[in-house]
Amino acid sequence: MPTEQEVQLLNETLFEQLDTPGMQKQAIDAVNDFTRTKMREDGFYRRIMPPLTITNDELDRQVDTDKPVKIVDKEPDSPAAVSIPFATLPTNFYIRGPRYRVMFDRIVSPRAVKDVDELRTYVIDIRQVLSDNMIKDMLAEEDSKFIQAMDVAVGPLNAANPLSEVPQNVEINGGITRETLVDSLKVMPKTPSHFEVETCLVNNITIKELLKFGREEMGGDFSQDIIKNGWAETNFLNCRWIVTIKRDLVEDDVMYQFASPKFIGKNYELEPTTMYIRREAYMLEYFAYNTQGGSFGHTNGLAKVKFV
Amino acid sequence: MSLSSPPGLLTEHGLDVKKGWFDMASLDYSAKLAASLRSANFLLKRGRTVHVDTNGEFVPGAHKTCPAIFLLNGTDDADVNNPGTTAAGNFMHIAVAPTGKLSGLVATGGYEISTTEFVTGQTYNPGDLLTATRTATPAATDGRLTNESVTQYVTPVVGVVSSGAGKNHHGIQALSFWCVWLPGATNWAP
Repeated sequence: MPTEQEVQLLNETLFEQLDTPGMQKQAIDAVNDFTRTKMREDGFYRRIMPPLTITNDELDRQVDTDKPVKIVDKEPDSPAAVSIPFATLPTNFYIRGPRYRVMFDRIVSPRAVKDVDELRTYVIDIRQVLSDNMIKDMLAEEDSKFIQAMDVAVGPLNAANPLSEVPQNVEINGGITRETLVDSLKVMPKTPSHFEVETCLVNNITIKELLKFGREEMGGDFSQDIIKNGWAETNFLNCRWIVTIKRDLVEDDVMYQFASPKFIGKNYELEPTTMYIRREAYMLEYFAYNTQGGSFGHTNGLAKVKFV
Repeated sequence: MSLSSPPGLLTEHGLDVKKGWFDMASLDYSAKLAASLRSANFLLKRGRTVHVDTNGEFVPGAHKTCPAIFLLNGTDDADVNNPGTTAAGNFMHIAVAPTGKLSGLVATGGYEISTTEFVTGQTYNPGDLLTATRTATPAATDGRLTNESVTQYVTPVVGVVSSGAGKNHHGIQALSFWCVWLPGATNWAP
């Protein structure tokens, strides 16, 4: 944690760079490094499906649009093997691999405008002032898109998913207990792909139910640790747990479950989060933007459980 | 984007803004197409005219009080929509992005625009008032500019013809106009 003097020095350096011809790039780079680090740390979409950087060369040109498009191959299904008696030949199948498209759009923060002389009075890190709320809003937008797509993918509550033909959005009675938690992990492996849950996403209210687990329920000193220190992201039930404060996206007593990202789909980042900063005389303007595209190519690695 | 249907030409439908755009202060507006139209897979091409309904979503055509918006992208654009179900209803993918948001320029802004989306049977002279076609139930032909039956202070006016209609540099018929917004009479209805 920098001291107040160090923060002021940082701020002055940033303003000097913004004001010096040829130095603006260094100033913007400093803010961008800071911004991108925070983006990596804070969004759950990015932690569940880490963005893959995609370059111009990797995009797939299309006849009827000049917008960026990436075509992704899916692993083809194959007919089952069969037992046959001797002197019998196998049946044929012609190999055809399905594909899907990933398309891109931009997330942009509102543009902030401020007189630099008013910013000089701040003793907090200007880079933080520039980026904090914008990052929060951009991450909320991408997390919101992710959850909306996830809700479509898992299908209606307690009904068979049209693709897997088994329910992937399930209500489990009995609240959150050791038994119901373990039962929740059976939903995804029941799909034809038999994926195991790798990541669980819950909100910060739901996770507190786990703090109530006693030694006999949680197991040994782990129970003591979490009642003493609270819940930290950790491996539990052989899954990685992500806890979000975004209760508007992840409801109380709801758990989203994900298989390994390689079984789910793609999240491409064409333009990493970039802060546009311009100083004209004494007015400073800035906004952040990025270009991303993502699709679920396979929905058997997704599940949603509501504990009631 | 299917090999089984004729390909589209990316210059076939669109909006060229001849004057007044782009700068950071340009007045644009983004929203999704109205939910009822989205669920019906309503196709709205780049260059069509829309207005914002009471839910904050786009509906094609002019409105008596809500300013017109000229679409920079259409519902089938790759940065708007990534349909993941085949015509037969089979699954390809579910898109996380894009989410269906369209964007357009607001008619109260100071732009001269050339659009491919207008009623071609009319004669357009400089100074003609323009409205955007609209039917009571949204139709595929809605949102095209026309000077037919436009009465000042009665019909909502969305623009005034500048240089008129003709083939643009892509060989596509386009109508050039200045954005103007003049609300329609209180009793005007599509």
